[in-house]
Amino acid sequence: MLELIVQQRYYIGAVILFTIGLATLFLHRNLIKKIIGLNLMDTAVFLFLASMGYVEGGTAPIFSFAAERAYINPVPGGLVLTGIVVAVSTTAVFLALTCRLYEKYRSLDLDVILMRARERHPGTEHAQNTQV
Amino acid sequence: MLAFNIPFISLFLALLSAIALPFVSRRGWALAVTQAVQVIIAALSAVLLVQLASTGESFTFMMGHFPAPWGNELKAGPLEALLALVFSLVMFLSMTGGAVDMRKEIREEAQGRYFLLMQLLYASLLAMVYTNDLFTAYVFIEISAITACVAVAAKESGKSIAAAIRYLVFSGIGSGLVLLGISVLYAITGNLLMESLHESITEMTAKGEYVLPLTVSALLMIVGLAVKSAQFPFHSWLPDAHSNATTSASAILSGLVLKGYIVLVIKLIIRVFGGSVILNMFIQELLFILGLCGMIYASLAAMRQEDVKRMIAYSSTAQIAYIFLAFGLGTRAGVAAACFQVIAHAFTKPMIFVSAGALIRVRGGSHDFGALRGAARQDIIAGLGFTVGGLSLCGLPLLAGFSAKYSIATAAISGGGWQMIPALLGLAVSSVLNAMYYIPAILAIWGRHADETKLTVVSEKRSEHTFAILCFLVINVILGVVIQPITSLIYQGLALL
Repeated sequence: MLELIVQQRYYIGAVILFTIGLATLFLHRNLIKKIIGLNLMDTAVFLFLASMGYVEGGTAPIFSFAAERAYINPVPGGLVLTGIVVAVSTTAVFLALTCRLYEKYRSLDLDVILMRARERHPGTEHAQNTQV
Repeated sequence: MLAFNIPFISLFLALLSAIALPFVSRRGWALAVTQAVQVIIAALSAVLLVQLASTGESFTFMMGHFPAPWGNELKAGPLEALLALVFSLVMFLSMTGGAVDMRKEIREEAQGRYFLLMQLLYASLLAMVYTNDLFTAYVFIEISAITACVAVAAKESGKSIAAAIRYLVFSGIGSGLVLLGISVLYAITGNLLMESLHESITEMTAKGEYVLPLTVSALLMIVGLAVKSAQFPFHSWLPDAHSNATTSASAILSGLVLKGYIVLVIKLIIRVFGGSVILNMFIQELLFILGLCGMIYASLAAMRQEDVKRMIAYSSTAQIAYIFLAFGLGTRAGVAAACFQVIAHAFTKPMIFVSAGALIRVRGGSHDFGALRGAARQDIIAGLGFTVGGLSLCGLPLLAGFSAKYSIATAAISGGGWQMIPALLGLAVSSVLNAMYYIPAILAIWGRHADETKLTVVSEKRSEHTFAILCFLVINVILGVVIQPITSLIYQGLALL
């Protein structure tokens, strides 16, 4: 059992990180913490991908005539790079929208923001749909 | 053959024009360029569709001429060409129909960037239709999520930005799940191209290996896509996002963006997991039950709304639930019915949003039914669009919504099994519920306003939305009358998917 855990430590770590990220994104009211949760979630998947391609003692996947050693799988590395670009852009949009909301409502708490938005434009909003 | 370059050219043209749009916007050409590109791509897709449907074949396009296990591929058959044609037409008509609201609601210097977003969104939808690679699909899922969120926020009012943030949170969760699912699938099979994945999965399930991890990965991807396409119970972001956006964004978000993810679900069900036991275990039942609950719940919620755009947005959730119900039938006929519903809803919902936008405009921007009473009398065409759209979704024969419901019902009957009776009952109940909120709304907009003298009537010269609504009306009737040829086209496309 212990051996299995040690063997699969990267995957277990990735799943724990993903769960923490998901919970943070979903349950926290604070927008900045939501962004942190989103990033944690993405990082967990990157850890999962990177550890998947890793070969114990492998070299970089560059061709040479001398090398006889095993090299690591380059495809997950490429996927992680693409994923990082995507995560950065999502974070940037999220932060930009958060800045706008803070300028308008002077709060980072989503509940407070939705409450103030309703106060300013009364009548059209319904109470049952304000929970994220 | 020359036509085989069309998928790539469509994508390239859409992306290229997206980058160019902010620069031509200063001269006021942005809308014309957007529309021209969309019409060109629609025409190219029509050529491709005719060619592929007559020869009955599909083909893969190697990006950069790297062969299968290494390179990135596009794949097109009759179904992909049909969807690209539908998406281009709806995109064009929605942009045309929402042009007046767009000029009014978005700052002038930001309009170029709004067109940039919409064109990128369009490119990402085309890419989701054509791609044959799961990771490329993920990248374009994220592009469409980001552009759709910013399109919601483009009005820059507090409410629309708050709605965009909630949308982004749900999108983030959805794409996180999809990415995890793709990673698990890659870890097991070592492939990302859909055909190679299908081979590995069939081989593994035949031997009975890795059944649990494969199921987990399928579940992660399908649930992730369901979150992004606002399937019940993950729909709570949708009404705010779709009702607070500007008209063309609402129309495109409801009519097309949700469908992009559905197309990927279809590809997963048929091209990746097709024929294996993974989906038969419980995923189909899960989709069926969620679809059934969704179509009842969302219709009940729509009845309580006083804001016309929120009501239409809830109705979108109900219509998406029909699609998932059809997937849950687990037969080829079910998937074909889902495709029909995708197309029918793509032409109906934008028509309703564009008409509602026009009606809201003649009453000076109020969304409430009270204020909209009698608005249709001032804009007959918009009133007609809203009426026909509403009746179509209630399932009035000779309209698109009826054909879609008819296909789902025949699929349920031919599939048999325990799903038949609940599916038929659900269809009947939700049609009645649809009628219970659309018909009062239709009566309200055609009714007489209590106090005619106090009206704030806004007169306008431009009539771009009239053209768009008339086109939508014609296509709606065509879809309602010509069921058989379209269904056989969809079957042909599914067989070649």
